[in-house]
Amino acid sequence: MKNLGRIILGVLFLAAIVSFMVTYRVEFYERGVLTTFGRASEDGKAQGPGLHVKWPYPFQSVTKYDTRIQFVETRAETQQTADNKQIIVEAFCLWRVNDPLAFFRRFSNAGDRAEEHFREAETILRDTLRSALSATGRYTLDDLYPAGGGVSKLPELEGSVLAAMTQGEAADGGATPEGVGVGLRAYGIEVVHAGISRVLLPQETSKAVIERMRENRNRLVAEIESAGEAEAQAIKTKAENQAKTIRSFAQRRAREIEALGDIEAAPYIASMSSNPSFAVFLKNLEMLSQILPAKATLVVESRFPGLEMLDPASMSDLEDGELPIDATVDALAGEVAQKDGEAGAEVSDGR
Amino acid sequence: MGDEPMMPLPEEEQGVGGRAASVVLRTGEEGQSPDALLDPAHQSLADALRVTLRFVQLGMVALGVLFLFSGATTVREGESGLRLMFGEIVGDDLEPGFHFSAPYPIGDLIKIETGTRRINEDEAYWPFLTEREKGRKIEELSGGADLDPRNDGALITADGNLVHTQWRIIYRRQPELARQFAENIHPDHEENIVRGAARHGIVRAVSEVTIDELLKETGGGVGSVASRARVIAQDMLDDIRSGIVLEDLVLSQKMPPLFARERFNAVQSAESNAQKAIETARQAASRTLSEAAGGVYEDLRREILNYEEAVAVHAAAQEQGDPAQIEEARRQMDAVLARIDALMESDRAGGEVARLMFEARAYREEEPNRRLADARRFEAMLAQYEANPSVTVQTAWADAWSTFAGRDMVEIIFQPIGAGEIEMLINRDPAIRKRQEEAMKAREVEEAEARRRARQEKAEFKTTTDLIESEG
Repeated sequence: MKNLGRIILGVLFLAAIVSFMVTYRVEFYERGVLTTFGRASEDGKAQGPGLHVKWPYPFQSVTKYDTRIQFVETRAETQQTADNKQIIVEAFCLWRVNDPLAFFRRFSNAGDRAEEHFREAETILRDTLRSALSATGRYTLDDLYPAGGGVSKLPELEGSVLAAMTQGEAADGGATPEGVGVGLRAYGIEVVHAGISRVLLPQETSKAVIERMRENRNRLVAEIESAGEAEAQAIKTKAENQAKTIRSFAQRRAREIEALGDIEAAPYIASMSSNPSFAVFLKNLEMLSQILPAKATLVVESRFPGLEMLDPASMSDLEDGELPIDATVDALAGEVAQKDGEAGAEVSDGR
Repeated sequence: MGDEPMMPLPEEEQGVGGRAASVVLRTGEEGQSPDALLDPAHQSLADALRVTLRFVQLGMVALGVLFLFSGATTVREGESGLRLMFGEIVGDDLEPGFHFSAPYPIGDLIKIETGTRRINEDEAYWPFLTEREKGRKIEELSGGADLDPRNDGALITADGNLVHTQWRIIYRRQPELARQFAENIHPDHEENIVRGAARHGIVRAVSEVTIDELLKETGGGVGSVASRARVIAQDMLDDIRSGIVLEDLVLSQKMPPLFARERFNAVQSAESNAQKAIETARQAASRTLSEAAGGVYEDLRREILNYEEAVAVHAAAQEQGDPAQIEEARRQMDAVLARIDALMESDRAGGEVARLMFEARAYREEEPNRRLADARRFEAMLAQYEANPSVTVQTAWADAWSTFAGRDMVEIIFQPIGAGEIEMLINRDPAIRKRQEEAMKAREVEEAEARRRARQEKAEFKTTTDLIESEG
C-alpha cells in the first residue's frame, strides 16, 4: 500500500515532465507555428489559443506570435506635392500578424526568437510606409489645406497611403507608385490603419510663411482700426441724426403749444390798438429796462437828456422859474403834444 | 565504531516518555556480538530518514495545496478581469471581488486596469525649448524667423498658416470592452497607438480651421477643434476595436509662431482699440440722445417714425379723397401724437425735449397773462399820458434809462459838451473789471440756485414710479 502511493506520485511527476515536454499553451492573443525539424507544418494552419501537443525538442518546436495591433511610425520625410511644393510628413501605421505561418516563413531567418522576427517586420513596414507616403505627390498643398474653406484631402491622402500598404493600389483604384504594399499580405502582415501625425514645412518655407503671417497681421491691424473708426463714426452720426430728428420734432411741438398761448393773448394785444405808438413806446422802454448786457461801454455827451445837469453851464443864464431842460426834451414833448392833438382831432373827427 | 552493527537498546534502558536514543555507545559487555551492536544505529538512521521523508511529503502536500489555490485573486475597483483556461478566454468582464481560477499554466486570471490615463502632447507641435525656457511664460519666449523641422513642431491651418499647440490626451480602457482591448491592443504599444490616434485627429481637425478660429477657440465644446479632433481619433480607435475611449482631448496651449506673436498681439490690441472706440461712440451716442430727450429717446424715436408713417398714410388718404380713410388716418396721427406728447412730458423725458416742452408750456400759460398785464399797464399809462403827455413820457423814459445805465455791467464815459470829435484809448480799469466779473459770477450763482429750486419744487410733485414698480 505504501509502495502504491509512491508509484502514483512518481507517475504523476513523470507525467508532469512529459506533459511539459510535449504540450504547449497558446494565449488568446497569440498564434503558434509548429515546426518539425525546423520545417513548418504543411497544412498551413497556425495553432490557435488553447493546449496543444507536439513532439519534444528537438523533433518539434513552436514559435508563438503576438497577433495584437502594434505601432510603427516614420520620422520626418520630405515629400513633394503636385504643385511642386515641399512638405515634411510624419506618419504611422497600425499593423498585426494575420498569417503567422507566412510571417514565420518570411522572417524566421532573422533569428530564432519571435522578437527578432517582429523587429525585422517593423523595418520593412517602416520602409513600406515611407514609400507609400509618396502618394502625397498626387495632391496640391491647397488640396490638403484648402485656404478657401473647402474640404481638406488629408483623409484621402491617408486612405491612399493605407491602400498602398494593404492592397498595393491607390484608393482611387490606380496603381500606387512603385507598387508598394504588394508584398505585405504575403508577409502575413495586415495593416489596419495609416495616419499622418505631423505635417511640417521646410525651414526656408517656414520663414516665408511666418513673414507672410506678419504682413497679414499688419494688414489686419489697419483694417480693424479703420473698421472700428468707421463704425464708431457711424454710431455717432446716427445718434446725432436721431437727436436732430427728435429735437426738431420737439421744437415743432413746442411752437404749436406756444401758438396756443399767442392765440389766447391776441385779444389783449388787440386791446392796445387804441394808441399803437404809445404801446410800442412802452414796450421799447420795457425792453430798455430789461436788457442785461454782459458788458457795455456807453460814451454819452453831457447834453444827453437827464445828464445836462453834469454841465455847470446848464445852471447859468436861467431865467426866473426856468428849468434846465434840454431842448431835445422840449422838442420831444412838443412832438408828443402834437401827436396827441392830432389823435384828439381824429377822435373828434370820428365822432 | 568499526563494522559492528548497532544494537537496539533494551526497553529498560530507554528513557521514559522520550524517543529512543539515535546512537548508543558501546559499553563493552561481554557476550554481545558486533552485529548486535550495529542494529540500533541502522534503526536510528532509518528513523531519521522516515522523519525527513514525512517533512518532504508534508511540504509537497502544502505546495500542492498552494498550487491548487494559486489561481485565486482579487479584482479591484477600476479593474476588469478575464478568466483563461489553457490560454483561451472562458470568462470576461469579471466584476470587482474575489475570483477563483485554475492554477497556471492550466488556467489564469488576468486583470486589466480601466482607470483614467493621461498623455501630455507637449512637444510634437511646440517650438523647441531648452530646459530653462520651458519654465518661462509664453510671453517671455522669443523665437527665430523660421522653424527647424528637425526640432520645432507646428501645425498647418486651413489658411496655410503655422500654429503651435499643446494637448492633453485623457483616455481609459472601457470596462465593458476589456476583452476587446486585451485581444487587439499590444500593451507595449498602447500609448503610442493612443498618441497616434490623437495626432491623426489633431492634424485633420486643425487643417479644417483658420489660425484665427483656432486661436480664438475657448473650451472644447461641440464644434470646437479639440472636439472635432477627439471625434476623428475616437473613430480610429473604434475602427481597430481597441476598447479604448478618449475621454477628452484638451487644447491646453496655443500660439502663433514666436517671431510673429508680437504682430498677432498688435491685432488683438487693434481689436481692443476698435471695440473701445465703438464703445466710446456708443456712450457718446447715448449721451447725445439723452441730451436730446433723456430716457425716452428710444421710444420717442420709434413714435416719431410711426407719426411720419401716419402722416404719409393721411396724405395718401387725402389724395384718394375717401373721407373715411382720411378720418381714420387723422385718428391714427392724433393717437401717435398723444403718445409722443405723453413721452415728451413724462418723468423719464429730459434734455432739450424736456426743456422745450417745459418752456412751451410755460409760454403757453404765461403769454396770455403777460399780454394781459401789458394791456392793463397800457391802459393805466395811457390814462396818465392823455392827462400829462410830456411828464409821462419823460418819466417813463428816464426810469427805463436809469435802470439800464445803473446795471453793474454798464460803463459810462461822458463826453464834454463841445468837445467835438474825441479819440479815446480805452484801457479798462482792472478794479472795475474785477467788480464786473464778481457781479457776473454772483448773478450766475443766483440763476443756478433759482434753477435748482425750480427743479426741486417740480420734483416734489413727482411720483416715483420705479419704486412702485419694483415693489409690485
